Amino acid sequence: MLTVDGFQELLSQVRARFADLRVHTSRSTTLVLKDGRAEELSTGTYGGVAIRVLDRCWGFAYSSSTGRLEEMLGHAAKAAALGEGEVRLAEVRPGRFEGELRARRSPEDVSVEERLELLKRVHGVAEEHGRIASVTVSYHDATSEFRYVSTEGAEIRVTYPWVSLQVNVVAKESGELQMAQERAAGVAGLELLEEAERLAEVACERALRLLEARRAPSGVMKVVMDPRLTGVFVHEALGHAAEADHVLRGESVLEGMLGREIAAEEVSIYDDPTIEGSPGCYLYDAEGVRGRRRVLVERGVLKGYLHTRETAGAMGVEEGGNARAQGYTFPPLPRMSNTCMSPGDAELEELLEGAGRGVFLGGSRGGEVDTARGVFQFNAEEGYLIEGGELTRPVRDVSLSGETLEILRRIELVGRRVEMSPGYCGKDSQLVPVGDSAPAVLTVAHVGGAG
Amino acid sequence: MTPREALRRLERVGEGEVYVLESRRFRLEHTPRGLRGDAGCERGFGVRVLARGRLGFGYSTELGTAVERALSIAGCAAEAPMRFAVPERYPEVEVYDGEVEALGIEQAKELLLHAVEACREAGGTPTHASMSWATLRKEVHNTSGVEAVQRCTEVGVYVMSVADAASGMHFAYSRSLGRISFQEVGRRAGWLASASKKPERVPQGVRTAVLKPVAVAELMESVLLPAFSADNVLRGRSRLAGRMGERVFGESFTLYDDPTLPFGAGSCTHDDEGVGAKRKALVERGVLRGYLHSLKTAARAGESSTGNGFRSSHAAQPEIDATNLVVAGEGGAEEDGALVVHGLIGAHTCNPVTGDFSVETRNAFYDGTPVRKAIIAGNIYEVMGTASFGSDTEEVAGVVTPSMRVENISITG
Repeated sequence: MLTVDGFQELLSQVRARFADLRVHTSRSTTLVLKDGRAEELSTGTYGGVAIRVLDRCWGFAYSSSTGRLEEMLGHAAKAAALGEGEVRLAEVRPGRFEGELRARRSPEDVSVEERLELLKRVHGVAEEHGRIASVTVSYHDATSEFRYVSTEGAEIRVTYPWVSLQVNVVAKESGELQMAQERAAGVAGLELLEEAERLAEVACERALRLLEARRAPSGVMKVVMDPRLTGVFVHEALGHAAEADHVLRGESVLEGMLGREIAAEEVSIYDDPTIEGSPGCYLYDAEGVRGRRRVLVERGVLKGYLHTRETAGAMGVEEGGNARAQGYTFPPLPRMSNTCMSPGDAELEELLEGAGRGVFLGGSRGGEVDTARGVFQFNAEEGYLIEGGELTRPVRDVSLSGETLEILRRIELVGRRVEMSPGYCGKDSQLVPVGDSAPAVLTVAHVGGAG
Repeated sequence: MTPREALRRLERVGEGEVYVLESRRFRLEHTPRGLRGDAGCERGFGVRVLARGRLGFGYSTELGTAVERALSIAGCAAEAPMRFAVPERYPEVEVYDGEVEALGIEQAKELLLHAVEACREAGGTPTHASMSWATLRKEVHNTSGVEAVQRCTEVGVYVMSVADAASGMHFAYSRSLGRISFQEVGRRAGWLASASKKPERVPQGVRTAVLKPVAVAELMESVLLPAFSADNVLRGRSRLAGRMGERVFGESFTLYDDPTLPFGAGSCTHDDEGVGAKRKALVERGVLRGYLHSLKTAARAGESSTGNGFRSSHAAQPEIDATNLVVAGEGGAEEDGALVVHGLIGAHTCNPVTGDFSVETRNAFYDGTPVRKAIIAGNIYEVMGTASFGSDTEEVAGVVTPSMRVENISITG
C-alpha cells in the first residue's frame, strides 16, 4: 500500500496547490437467505486509493492498485489545469488521529455458520405466519479502514464496523400479492441485531395488513406521518436542498434563505454523524474534517447548510464536515449523515385528533426530490384513513408530494417519540448509508392514491 | 495467479469460474463554479466455486485472495442445482468504439461545453453538466472450457438546468460516441426548463396521460421489469408467474430484450456468466412469451439461461437484468386531452410486486401549458391493458421506447 512518503513523491510530479489522498479498504461478508435457502453467500476484500489535486480546478484520480495510480494522476492533473473557476477551501486545522470504532460483538469473531443461524431464526419467525409466500433475509457485515493524508499535514486512520440485516416478505391471498420490508443497519456489530426476529414480525404483520387494505384516496389533505415517513420527508425535502453544492449552483429553494423562517416554529432539524452505532456515523469526513452536529433549522429558522471545504470556502463560512464519498472511486460531495428532527410534545392521539379527517401514513420505500423546484415525492407503504380523529379503514401504497417550504410551514403538531431508520441515499451516482431520525408530525400534503 | 491456475485450484474441489473486470473511467463535471476531471482504473476478480452443489463467491483485487475467500464460504451454502456456462459461439455485436477509448480530456471538455451552450440557447441556465466515458474489459473463464473476453466502451452525458423556478434535465448513454448528440441533450434540458416556466394547476377530471419516452423508461424499469425476472417468478414474487402464453397486456404492446442492438447502452456479445447474447420476445401483442434467466434460475426451472446474468462490479454476484428493453407498440399517442409527462420523480419507490405506482411528474404539460405539480397513480397491469403507443421511438439508457398513452389513471394536481 502507498505510504505517506510515496504520496509526497507522486505529488511532486504534478502541479497542485492542494492535494489529498484517501485509502479505503474493507473485508466483508454477505449472506442471503431466499425462502430459507442459503444459496447466495459471498465474502471478499475491496479497496483502493483516491487522490485529489487542486490547481486551477479539481482533478481526481483513483485506482484499485497503486501501480496504475501514477498514470491516472497524470490525467487528473491535466484536468486540474484545464479549468476556469475559483476554488477556495475553507481553512481547517489538519486532523491527526488514529483509532477504531469498536463493535461490541464483532461479526469477525463469530463463524459464518453462527451468523447464518441468526438469519434462519429470522426466516423462521416470518415462516410461522400464514399467507406469507416468500421471504428474503439479507445480511451484510464489513470492517473498513479509512486513511486520509493531505498536503496540509493531516494524517487520519480510522477503522469502522458495519452490519445490516433486511427482511423482505411477500404475502399472498387469492392471487393478490403484497410486499413489506424492514431493516436494521449501523456502524456497529452483531449487538445491533439482537432483536432481529422482531423485524420479521413487523414486516409480516404489515404485508398481511396490506392484503386487507384498499387503495388510498387522493387530493390535498391533512396527513399524519409516522416517524419513519417524517424521516424520509426531512431527508428528501429539506436535507437535499440544504446541501451547499445545490445552493451554490442555484439548484435549491433554500438559496438566500439563511436566517429566515422557512418552517413552523415547532420544527428543528440537525445533521449529526456523531450518533454512536447509527447508519450515518463517522469520526472524520472524506476531507479529514471532524464530524460534528450541525444545526440546519432551529425553531423554524434556517441556520445553515451542509458543507464540504470547497462549498464552505465559497460561502465564507468556517468549515466543512459533511464531505462524503462512496468508496475510493468517487470524489467527496456535501452529503447528509444522520438527519434528525427534534421531538415535540404531542401524543399520537393528539396528532390524530388534530387531523380530524385525513390519512395516517407510515413506512416508506424512499423518495426523490427536485431541489431546484423544491418539489418532492416520497412513498408510504401503508396507512389508515382518519375519520373523526380516529384510525378507521386501512389503505395501501400511496405517495405524498408537495412543495418543501409549504409543507414545512404547515406542520401543526410534532410527536414526542423519535425513531431512527437506516437507508441509502443516492446523489450523482454515489450511494452512502444514512440515518433519518424523526417523530410523527401532522401537516397538509398532496396524497396520490389510485382510489 | 492466472485465471487458468485459479481454475486448476478450484477443480480440486469441484467446478469453478473466474470473472475479471478491468475498467478505465473518465468523467468531466461542469458547474457554474468550474470544472472537475476524474480519471480512474480498477481491476478486480470475482470467483465462484461449486463444491458438491454448494456455491461460494469470493472477490478481491488479488485473484489468489478471491479464490481462497470463495473456498472458505462455499461449505456453508445450501445445495442448489447450478452449472456454469458451456462454450458456445457468441454473436457479433457492436459494443466497442475506438473513438471513446481515444477520447482525451480536452476534446471531452469541448463536447460538454457544446451541450452547455445548447442548453443556454434553448433558454435554460445550466446548473450541472457531466460527461463520462469508459473502456471495459470483461473476462469469464470456467472449468467447462468457457474463455469469453469482451471489450466494450460506454459514454454518457447529463445536463441539468433551471429557468425561474422551473427545472429541466436530459441525458443520453451509448457505447458509441458518434451516437450521442451533445447539442440535443443540452437543448432538451434547456427547453424543458424554459417551457416549464409559469406553471398552472392541472384541470380537474383529467384521467389520461401521455408518458414521453424518458417517463415510459422510468416506469418500465422500476415496476414492470422485476416481474420478468425468473428469480421473482420462481419465488412467487411476480404477477406474471404461471401465465406464460396468456394475454396479460393489451394487444398493442410488444416487448423484447435485445442485446444485439448496435452500440445500445445494454448491448453485449455475452452476459457476465459467459452465456451468449440473444434477442428474445417477452411480450408479443399482449401475450406473455418469456422470462429473463441467469444460470441459477435456469437450472432451477430446468431451462436454459437467456443470457441475462449481469454483475454490477467484480465484487457482486450475477443478478438478473435486462440488456436493452425494446418496446414495439402501436395505436398512437395523441396528446389531446392528456397530461403530457416528460419524466417522473420517485419511480424507484413504485411497488414492483403489485405493480402499483404513485409518482410525482417532472415537466408535465396540459394543452401546451406547464403544470405546477401532479401525482399520477395506477396499476401497471391495469394501465397496460389499454395503453397505446406513438411512433417517436427514442433510446433512453437501455430502454428503447416511443411515447405511451394511458387511460383511466388517477391524476392529482
